[in-house]
Formats: sequence, structure tokens, C-alpha cells
Amino acid sequence: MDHPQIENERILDRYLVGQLSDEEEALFEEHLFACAECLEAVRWGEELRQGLRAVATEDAAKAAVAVGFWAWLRQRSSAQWAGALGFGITVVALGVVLVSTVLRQRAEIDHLRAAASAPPVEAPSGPSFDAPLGGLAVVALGTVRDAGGEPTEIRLDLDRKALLLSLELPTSTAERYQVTLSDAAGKVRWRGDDLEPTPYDTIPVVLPVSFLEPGEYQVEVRALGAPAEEPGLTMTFRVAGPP
Amino acid sequence: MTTLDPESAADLVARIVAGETAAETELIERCQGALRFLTRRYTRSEADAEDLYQETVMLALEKIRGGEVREPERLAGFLRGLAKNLGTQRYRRRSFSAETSVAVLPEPPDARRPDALGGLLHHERARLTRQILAELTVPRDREVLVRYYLAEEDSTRICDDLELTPEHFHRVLHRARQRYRRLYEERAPRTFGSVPG
Ligand SMILES: [Zn+2]
Repeated sequence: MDHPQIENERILDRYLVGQLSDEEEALFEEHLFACAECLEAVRWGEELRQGLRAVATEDAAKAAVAVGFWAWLRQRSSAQWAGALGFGITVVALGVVLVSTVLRQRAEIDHLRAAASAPPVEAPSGPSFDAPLGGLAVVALGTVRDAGGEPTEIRLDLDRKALLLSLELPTSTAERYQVTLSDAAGKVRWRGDDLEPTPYDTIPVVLPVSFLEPGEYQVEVRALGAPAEEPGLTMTFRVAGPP
Repeated sequence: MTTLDPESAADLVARIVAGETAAETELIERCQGALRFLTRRYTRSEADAEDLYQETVMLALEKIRGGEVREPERLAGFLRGLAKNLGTQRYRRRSFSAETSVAVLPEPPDARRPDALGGLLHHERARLTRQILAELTVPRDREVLVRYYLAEEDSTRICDDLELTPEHFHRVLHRARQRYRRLYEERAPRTFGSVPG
């Protein structure tokens, strides 16, 4: 493999995202032994990709903190809500972009407003990261929170191109998980094997928004090595189209 | 950085077969940059990468000494193939059975290490990246990075959506890599200690 080919066929960028054929990949990797310039370029490209992942993971963790807060809040008595509301605002102010309009959370917010007779809390309406990961929507899905209720509704009406689903595990009991995403017809749309949870007991999954047409989806999370008869954790969400 | 071009590869193989120990040392010097990068890519942790690297080098030397390398000038391909096979057998990397372009974000392995350094690396990496994203004053350029490197969307679709030429698209990626490197190197002595690789 030579440089005109690497340049013309955008080999380096395609390599970084795993889009080369097996043959192209083998030839390019062989080239890396002889070419310090390309080796440096892929190293820094890989570093940058890891940096983007690190940002996304941090943001997913923040989202999980914010959503976990609502689950915690549900267990509080109404007398404690007024104080808790203040905490809620602080959590939101951390800069989490929760574009999901979780219906049950919305009901809780209404309830809270009445109970606390505090000024209404507005959900953040746009990016508020220190330096936003442009185009990335972060949505946390929890097994506990979603049990038996309405599926989480995700409205993709903001200018987002990728969706980061932060799958909250009740407690991290396994080292690896398998995640399956199915549509309403039960067709498997995507599966990730051998996924590692984050230290925050979440599994972050990024999907291009274009991948999710409006409709209902189910996410099943199974611990690797668990007996076949043991049910996995199930989370549902609904993608609403643009208004 | 020394590299392993076809001529020196053929020469090294001949010298190793002839029993010259210095040639083995030279081979390791010439191939370790690429081989370390690849073993990291084929595994899911620094520790696995180091094991795979050591194992590959040992097995490679054994085979070269035994005259098992049939095309000495393609020694790089031989080393790469050895690392890939060993990696697939023993250090299975995350596998995806995606029907379409999807990325999963594993926590960078260092962040799970219990020591403070792991957390610092993860956090610092995120901080540098946020800085680069903030510096990209054209929101479209930020979008290119996220959609291509993170969501692994098809480049043609991204170019169509954003009305970009492929040249502009690749220029954005190239510039971001360069900028990341500069920022990293400015901070490296204080926070990282060494450059990656
Ligand atoms: Zn090159």
C-alpha cells in the first residue's frame, strides 16, 4: 500500500472507524511497520477517538446521576420535596443535556411543582456542556425506573445527530453484558456482545439518530455467562418523530 | 523512529537465521512502534496488549530462527499476522454484530484501574477533547467529529447532510487530530508523562 492510495481512498480515516476490508486493513497495518508518518497519524487519531469516548462517557454518567435522582426522589415524602427540588436544579445545572422527555418524570415534576409551590422547573432546552459534544443527545434508560410504566419517550426534534443511551444497571453484577436492541416487530436491529459496564454501573451505547425511525424499541441487557433461563433486564423507549 | 522496510527486513531475517543476536535486538527496535500500536488495537486493555506484544515477539523470533519465514521482505506482514492470530485466539476484543453503523462506547480501560492515574488519564483525555471541541468555532466541524468518530456514521451521509465536500470532511478530521496532538504534547510533561504508543 502506498501513499497515493492511502490519500485517495481515505484509508487512514476509514481504518480508524473500522471500515476497511480485511485485505485493506492487513495491507495498511503492514504499511505501518515501514511508515512512521502513518503510524503517528493513526495513534493520534485513536487518541482523539478515545477522547471523544471519554467525553461521552462522562456525560452519560452525569445523565445517569440526574435521572437516578428522580428515582430517588420518588421514594421521598412530600415534605422533603421542597428541599429536594433545590437539589434537582443543582443536578440539572451540572450541564446535562437530557433531551428525552421522560413522561413519568414530567408527571413527577408537575407533582413536585404543586407540592412544593416553588417556581416551575424548566428542563434544559439546549446544550449546556462546558464544551458541548455537538450533535450528541444523552438519554438515560433505567431498568428500575421503567418497570411497568410508560416507555421513555425520546423526542429527536433537537438538532442532534447521535443518541447516547446510558443503560443503567440496578447493580453491576457481571463483568460483561450483551445488549440487544429490537424494534416493535421484534426484529433485532442491533446487538453488542461482550460489553463492559462503566464504573458508574451503566452501559453507554451510541446510535446514529438516522438509525432510529419513530416507533417503540426494546433493549434487553443480559449478563454474559448467566443461565439461559434467567431473564435479562428489559428497558423500553419510544422514539417520537419531529413535531 | 526506526521502521521496518522490506530491505532491512530481508537483511534482518538472514542475520537472525545465521544466529546473530544483535539482529534480534535490531528487529525489536524497528518493529516495536507498530507492533505495540497493533497489539493495543487487538486487545481490550493495556495489560493484555503487553502480554500479546511479548508473546508475539517471542514466537516471531522462534519462527524466524527456525527459518519459517518464507517471504523475508514481507516480515512486517508476518509479524502483523502473528499478532492478529494470537490476539483473536486469546484476547478476543469486543465484537459487534451490528446490522448498521453503530458504535458502543466502552469505558477506556484505564478509567477502571483503581489507582488515581487511571482516573486522571481518563479525565484529562476528556478535558483535552472538550477543549478541542470548544475551539471548533464552526458547529458543523464539531458535528463531523462526533458523527464520524463517535457514532461511526457513514462519511458519505455526513457529507450529504452537511453539504460538505469529501476534501473538507477529511480536512476537519486531519486538523482535529493535529490539534489534539499539539494540546496533548503541551500538557504531556505535566499530566501524562509520555506520549501514547
Ligand atoms: Zn505512510
